[in-house]
Amino acid sequence: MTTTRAFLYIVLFFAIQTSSAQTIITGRLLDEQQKAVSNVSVSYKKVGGAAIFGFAKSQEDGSFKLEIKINDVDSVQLDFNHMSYAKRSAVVVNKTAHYAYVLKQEARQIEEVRVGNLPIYKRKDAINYNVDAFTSKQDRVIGDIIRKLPGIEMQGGQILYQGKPIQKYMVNNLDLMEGRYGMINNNLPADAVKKVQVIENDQPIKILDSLVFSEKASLNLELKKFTSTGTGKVGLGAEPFLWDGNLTPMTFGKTFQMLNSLQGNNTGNDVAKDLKAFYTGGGYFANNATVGDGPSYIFLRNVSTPGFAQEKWLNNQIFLGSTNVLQKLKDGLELKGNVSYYNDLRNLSGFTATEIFTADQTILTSEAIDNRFQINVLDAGVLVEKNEKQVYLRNSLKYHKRWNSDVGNLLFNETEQIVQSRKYEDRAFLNAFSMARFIGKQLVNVKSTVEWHQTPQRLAVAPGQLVDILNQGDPYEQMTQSVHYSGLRADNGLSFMRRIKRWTVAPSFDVNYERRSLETGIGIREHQNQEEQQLGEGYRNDLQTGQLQMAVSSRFSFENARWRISLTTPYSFYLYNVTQQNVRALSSESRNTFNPSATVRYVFDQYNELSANGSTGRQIGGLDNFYNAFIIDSYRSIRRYTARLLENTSTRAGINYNYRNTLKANFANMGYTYTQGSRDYIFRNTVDSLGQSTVGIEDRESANSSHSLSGGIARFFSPIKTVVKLNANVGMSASDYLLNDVMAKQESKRFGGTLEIINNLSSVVSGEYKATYGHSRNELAGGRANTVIHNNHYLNLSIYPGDRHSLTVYNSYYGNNVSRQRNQYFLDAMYRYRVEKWKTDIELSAMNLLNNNQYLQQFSTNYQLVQSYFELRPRQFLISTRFKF
Amino acid sequence: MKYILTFFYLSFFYLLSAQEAFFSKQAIYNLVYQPDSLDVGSSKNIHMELLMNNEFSFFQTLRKRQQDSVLCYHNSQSNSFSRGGIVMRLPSKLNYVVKKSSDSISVFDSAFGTDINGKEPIYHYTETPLNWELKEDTLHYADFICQKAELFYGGRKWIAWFTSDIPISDGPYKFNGLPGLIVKISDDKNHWNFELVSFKDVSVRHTINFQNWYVVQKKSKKQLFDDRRTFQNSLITQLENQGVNKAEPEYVKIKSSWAHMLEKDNNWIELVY
Repeated sequence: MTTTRAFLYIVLFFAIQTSSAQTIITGRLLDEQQKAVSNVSVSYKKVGGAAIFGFAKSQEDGSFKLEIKINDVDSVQLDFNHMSYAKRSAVVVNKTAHYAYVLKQEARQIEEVRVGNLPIYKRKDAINYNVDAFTSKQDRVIGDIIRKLPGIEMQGGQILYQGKPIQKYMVNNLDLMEGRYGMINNNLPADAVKKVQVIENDQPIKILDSLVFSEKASLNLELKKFTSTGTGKVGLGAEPFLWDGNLTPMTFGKTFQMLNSLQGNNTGNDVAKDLKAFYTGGGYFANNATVGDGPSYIFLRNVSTPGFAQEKWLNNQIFLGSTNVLQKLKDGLELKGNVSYYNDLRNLSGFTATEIFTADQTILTSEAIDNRFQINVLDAGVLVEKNEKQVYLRNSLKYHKRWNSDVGNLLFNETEQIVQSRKYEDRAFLNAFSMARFIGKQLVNVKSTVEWHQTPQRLAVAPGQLVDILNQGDPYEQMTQSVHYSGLRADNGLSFMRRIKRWTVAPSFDVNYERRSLETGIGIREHQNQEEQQLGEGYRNDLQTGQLQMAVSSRFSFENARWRISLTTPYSFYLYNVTQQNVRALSSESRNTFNPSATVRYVFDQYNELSANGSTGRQIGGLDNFYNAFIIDSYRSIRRYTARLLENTSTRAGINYNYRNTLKANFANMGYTYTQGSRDYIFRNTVDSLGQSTVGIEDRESANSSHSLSGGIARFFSPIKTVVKLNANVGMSASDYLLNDVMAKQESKRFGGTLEIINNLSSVVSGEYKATYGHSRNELAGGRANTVIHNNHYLNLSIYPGDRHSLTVYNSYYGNNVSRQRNQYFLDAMYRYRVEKWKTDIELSAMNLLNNNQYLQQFSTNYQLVQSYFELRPRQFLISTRFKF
Repeated sequence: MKYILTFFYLSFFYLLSAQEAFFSKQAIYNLVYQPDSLDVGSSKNIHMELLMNNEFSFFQTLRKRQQDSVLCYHNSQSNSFSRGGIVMRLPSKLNYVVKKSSDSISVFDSAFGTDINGKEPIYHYTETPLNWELKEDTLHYADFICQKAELFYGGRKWIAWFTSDIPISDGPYKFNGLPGLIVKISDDKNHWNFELVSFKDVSVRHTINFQNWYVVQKKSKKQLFDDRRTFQNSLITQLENQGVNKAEPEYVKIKSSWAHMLEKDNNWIELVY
């Protein structure tokens, strides 16, 4: 080797050394006599974190060397550990440096340990799933992976961990969607994610750490790098013309995150479900921050929809757009904003035959239904949050507008053609504010929520119905019900929390005010060219209600290694004011309620735990029903109530046993619940010979009670890579009802179960089988009883003949005991081919191969048995391409 | 040169046979293992102990320490024990002592019990330091917070949970080198499973009693496992060479059940060496 070459190599060697940004921390450890300490375990981790990232031992001369492999933090925590010295930690900057530390001599006392009968005090286990290890050939989006993880179950789009819904869904430790995580779960490509982290008993509100124990788990996705990514889909199909499109780009940066989505289809996929929030955020300090829809007083007559996959029956055409942004500022303040809009046209057709049982006769009616719904929803929100150890601040401002325009065509008893037209609009504003900080040793929390609604609505039915009540028995052209509702709610609360040794005491005071106004009127048009006449007294409402609640409550809880006990004692004082058509119906009427509740939890060991809960109390309600003039709610039902406050007393007790072994992914649970309630009123149903009903409230005591026992086990058999879940439940309930002035008792007994088997053993074939069985028997007055049995089986088989091909066949079998309906069997299939060059999939899917066109259902209520046919989507084929970017 | 080596060997042997140590801490592990990889029902369990002091530790079965002292006592009393002869029994795979310190792992293992001459060869070998991979998973086990670490060793993937609450860089069998005591370690098929049962302060004086029929030989790990496998497979041949009556029905029964036993002994703790 020539000297120049050698020189070049040396230069290169140094160049490489200096260009690598690897941090190397070196140091020396000495004892108090300045002598070197060897054999000390030196480890480093993220400041405040639990997991060690790397470690080394100090040498004979006390020196140590650590290579820091984490780059995304400014400082790391070093821990020095040795049996004969006191443990020492130091926080240092994440830069190459040399340090010296003195360790104090102190023999470590480690308590004698006997494992096996010691309980877990804090279960803050963090489980990290490496995505690559769980990804199979079929998985495209992160939701495909998450649903396979042990302990995790998907219910609809909601993620449950150990049977309880997760309380937070984060990406890189930031929560962009505030509970609307379906958008991320269904569109984030699986290969952008490095790890899925499930953190048990997570307390996301830092100020509450070690003050309030959390039962729920959080989920965090750690991405491989800060990136912009997303998935898209375009599909076309036939019978009739079908289309499906989705474009969802997202950006996840260090302090900035954004998700945009444009979606639309007419294949029966209700993408608006992804806009539904599964949690509202704010955790323990949460204060009713969801904008509910304003009340609807009018309805189209509908066919009950099948209880299975929407894609088989929903006839829709939906367009959806959504934008969501998160920005984290330097001082820890987070700003979030979102806007979303969707427009959905739905078509529902079917046929219903109803048997209404009164004490002396059975009334039969039939309706052929064809409804068209036009739904528009706009949501916008801005959120400010500061979540630090010393202070918590959250303010959420939301605007919501929904406007529907629906038309229902109905053929009654095969002779009469009836047209219903419904218009509904709801505009709402909500602002929810919450702030918490420590004053001395007390944690003080102030919260305030203001919600405002304007909900005008209108139902027009032609030809006019309910002739006996509305037009002295004469048929007429058209009836119109118009309703205008507006409401304002202002809830304010102040609460304190103090921890004394193992006890926590949390008193709180609330002042809540609610004011509502309801104006309704009925119009009759006798003949086509005549003017509409407004009906007078008895058919027109001008209702103003005001409710003031002052509540004082306290929560006491105790926590030690085995026990967790909590007792809450809320006492409320109410003042009611009601004016009906300028007549004072209630004037500063007062009521009070006391609703104590308690829960006890006992931990046997790390696997078993037993819990019990109980509550009793009284609810005052009925302000919604304080209208004493008629309101038509559907084409054949009209209501009015003798206005009074309704009292409802209930008692509830339950006991629950839980087993979990997370290491082996085995879970079991069993629970019993008893409820008992009594009301000082009962709803009175009167049904005439045409099946038209009137509902009122009667002053009679009514009671209801129920017992329910349920249990389940889930087990992961690792040698055959199979998860088996089994759930069963048994219950009975009894309730009083009043039909045509006769009091009766309805008793129902039910039992059922679900079995689920998911297998992933072979890389060529995988399958999922699920069976659900339910038996429910209703006994009504007069010895009438009816039994409904359902027996459903689902089998999905996936075959992977080659690396790029996959074929999945979906079988669903619905068994029932309805005499004239044979059992239904559905078959769907999907073939997918992967084009590596363009990083896309080509999918060919066939739905409802056997072309089943009707689905029959049967269900019963207090006094009627309904059998309905529902029209399903016909056989259809769709070819689509999925891509990620 | 030869004399110097012999001197060192003898002094080494002398030091060994008089090796007495004081131990101040004891951890007891429960070992559940499956000698037949195809038969879950073949699982057995046994208690193992880890004795620790500030310099090194010994790991062996709990009863070995008790057995050794009994034998030592008997031996000092008389020569009444007769050893030797051929025993139709699979040699125990747990008859070892693992000595670990911060910079070395060495093993003393009885290869196949006493041979026909009454001598028991003890193979002595050292291991290279283990290459752990830390994971971020944490778990509460009793009162400790444990962290996960993984290791590929002996043809198996081992998953260990260690706790830095006990800052002793040690664990069961040959597993040491993590920044805390290993509380639980098992392979990914759950065929070999060590789980901590108790940890406490003790005051134990223990001598690796190299009984006078022990013959300590410096070998390699591969030699140990190969020689042991050869011994097991050749026991029948040895018996026949000793002049046993092959026609005797007792013997025929032993021969067939022996083949069956050999087949079921396929899941040693280290599959690759």
